[in-house]
Amino acid sequence: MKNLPMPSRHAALAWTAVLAGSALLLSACGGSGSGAAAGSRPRDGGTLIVGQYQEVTQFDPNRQYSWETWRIDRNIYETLVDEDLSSPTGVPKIVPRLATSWKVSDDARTYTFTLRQGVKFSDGTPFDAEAVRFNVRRFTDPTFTYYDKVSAATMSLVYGDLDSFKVVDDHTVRYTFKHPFLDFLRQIPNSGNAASGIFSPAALKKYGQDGLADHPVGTGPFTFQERVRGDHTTLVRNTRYWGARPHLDKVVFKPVGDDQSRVAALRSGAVDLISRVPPDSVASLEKAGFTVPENTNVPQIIYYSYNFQNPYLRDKRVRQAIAQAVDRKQLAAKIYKGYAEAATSIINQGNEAHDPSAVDHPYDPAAAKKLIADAGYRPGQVKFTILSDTTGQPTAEFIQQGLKAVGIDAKVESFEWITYGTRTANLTPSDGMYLGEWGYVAANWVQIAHDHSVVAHDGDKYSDTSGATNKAIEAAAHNADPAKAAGLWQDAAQAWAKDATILPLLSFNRYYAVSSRVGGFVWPQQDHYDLSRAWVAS
Amino acid sequence: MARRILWRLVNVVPLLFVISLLVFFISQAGPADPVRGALSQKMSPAQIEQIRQAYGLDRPAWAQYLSWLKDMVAHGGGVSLSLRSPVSGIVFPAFRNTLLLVAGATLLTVVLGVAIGFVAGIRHGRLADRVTMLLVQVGSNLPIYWLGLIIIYLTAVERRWLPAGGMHDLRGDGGFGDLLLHLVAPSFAASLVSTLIIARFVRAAVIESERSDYVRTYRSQGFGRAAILGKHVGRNVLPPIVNITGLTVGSVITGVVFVETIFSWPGIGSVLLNAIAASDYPVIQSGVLLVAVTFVLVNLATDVVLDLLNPRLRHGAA
Repeated sequence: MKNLPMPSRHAALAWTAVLAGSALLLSACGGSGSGAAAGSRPRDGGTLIVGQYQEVTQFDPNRQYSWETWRIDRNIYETLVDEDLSSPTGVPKIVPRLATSWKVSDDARTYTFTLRQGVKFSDGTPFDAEAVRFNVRRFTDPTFTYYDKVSAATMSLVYGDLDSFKVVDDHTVRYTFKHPFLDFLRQIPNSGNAASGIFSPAALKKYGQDGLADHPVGTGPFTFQERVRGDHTTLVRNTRYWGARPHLDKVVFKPVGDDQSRVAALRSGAVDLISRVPPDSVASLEKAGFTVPENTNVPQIIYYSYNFQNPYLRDKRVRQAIAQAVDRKQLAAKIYKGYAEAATSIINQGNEAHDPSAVDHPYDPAAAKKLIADAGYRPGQVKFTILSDTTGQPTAEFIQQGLKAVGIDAKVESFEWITYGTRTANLTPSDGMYLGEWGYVAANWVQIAHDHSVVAHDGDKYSDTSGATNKAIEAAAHNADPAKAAGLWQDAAQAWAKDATILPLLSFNRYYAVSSRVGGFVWPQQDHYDLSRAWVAS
Repeated sequence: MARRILWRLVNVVPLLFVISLLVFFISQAGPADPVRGALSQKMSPAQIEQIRQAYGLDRPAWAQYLSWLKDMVAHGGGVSLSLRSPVSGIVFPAFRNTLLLVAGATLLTVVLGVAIGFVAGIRHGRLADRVTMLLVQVGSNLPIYWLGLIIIYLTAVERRWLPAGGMHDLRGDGGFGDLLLHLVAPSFAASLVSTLIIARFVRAAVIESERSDYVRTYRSQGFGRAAILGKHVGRNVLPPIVNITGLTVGSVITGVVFVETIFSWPGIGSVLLNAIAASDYPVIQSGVLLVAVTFVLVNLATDVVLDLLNPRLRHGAA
């Protein structure tokens, strides 16, 4: 890297002008041809190529993490229940998948599933109650030969309160939880970490705990063909799939980490679909004939967490002032060019319990100044660092400006994403706030987020949190009445908002860009999509 | 001569040992925690501790070093922490791809660099020299990252001459021609800076040789310019070319990390970036070690070639 001279800005500008000029000349000589457009009638066959923004983790449902990984894994592994992802709007309906029906006890502690009969894993192993038991014991039963500590740690996000698992008969299984757990059904098909996709027990026995990721075997519409790390993963149609025939014969997922290269790959036709479109490219892609669907109900949310080692941030008034000092509507409009929605509650826009009228702290710089003064600080006395990855830097600077206006002196440090994670895992007392991105459709996201950004970082121990938040969260988490759920989670979020131990910022409303070759692609209210109903032009 | 080369080989062994120590302990000394990496942040301290024990990360550093060294010697590395898959299967194929790109870039570097340098050198002071040197001056100040994107934009988006990245057309059946087509743009981007460095060296060497006494002597005896250039000047500028080529292979390997990212080339650069993101020590250590060993071997090869080119050594005088 030492032999990379950096040019002066002028030189770079001059060359951009020269090359852009020649590009215009080139393009004047004839338009670049794009492939055939997908008709409105589905077509069977063909290959879809997906450009992903990250290299994926492991094709092991219990060990994987990251949304991009689940976007692949969910085609291989199926869950007992699924969500209907065929509509772009509305909380997806829970629908049967490997279970044909289910019964939830009145106390919401016991879930009995009737399993689909005649289903086989792609290696021929029959899917039945014993297969489900094998899966569950892998991450819950330390006495099991195939118990896996890593899976257990990951899966505890959903199964931490599992009291017992029973095989009722060959095609019936029963999960009993220690507490009411209304969100269980919603968490089963959820993505990111703790995925409940069912793998073939024979495959795990054959390839071992570490080997399953390289030889994933499930019951899904596609089967794994190959993974060339850093290059691509290929799935092919499962010819013995129990459900409707997927239109595509093959799906290739290719990581293209660089934002501009990913856009170029789409524009050149090398890939048909990309995720995480940079806001700067939305307009030019649309102009070039690509679809960049809008969705204002996605369960993703960008937020800032606080570092409670910082003495100023232990004071609730300072944190409340920060929330009042940042104009989130302007942030979404200016920095994200309107391709994002301001978030004023940790209950993200795509969450079941979302209430658009909920506002934690309205933008009010005058009130923020007063809170800082009430806390006993002079303007400029409260100091800390805002940590961000490089793509989030403009956002961090926007926050910095807002804070400056109310007398908080914040410094911005941004890191390449490769070092950002390490940096935030090693916070020092001068660090103040750090960026995060997550979110669920399930309402218990409030609890997950609170555990992660407050409880796990000793927020309750070092800062003046009220204790009311934990109570309200527990009340919502242990509630057994579906009619009351949304209200209780709203109460929990509002109690938490008073503590101001998290700063919700915004959610994207543009994320995917799709070539006209592709038909039937839907961006549902979820962090993943269903490819079994998509097709490509010939 | 053979003894000299053997001695160079023997010297490599302790060097490799020191490199292995450095690679291991420097990567361990960093603040990164493999279990608390960027992607697995969403876990409680208890979950993290559980995973750390499962991976044997609670053992002392020297014990981890010994088992790592054993794994390296036995099967080219242990098991990746973030992918739970043998390191050799992750690092070797990626490194092979990197070597392919480095080979392409080095070939372009030598051919283009020598050609540009020779032309500029023999047309010293004339228009061709001035124009070439202006381009060289500007070219060596272009950042690889920016240049790569411009190349992609011009050759893959505006015109569909070359693929936008990757090693193979994912819709086609691959094949050697397809691979070569994919190799063109990233090789060019990776070679540019080194090409221009070589061009300057060759130009200077040609100018100096042409001014030297022996060339004047030949000329006075009526030898043609082409014969002098090909037979004598060419031979005298060869050692510096070999030397610089050896050095540039090193800078090409480091520069390739960026090129791989922009051109989605599945090489060691992207593997290392992902491994660093996940603080995946076994992969980082094996990958860095492999790059370091390549450096050492390229240097060794350069020294040996220089020895072979040296007539005094070749005829047993030293």
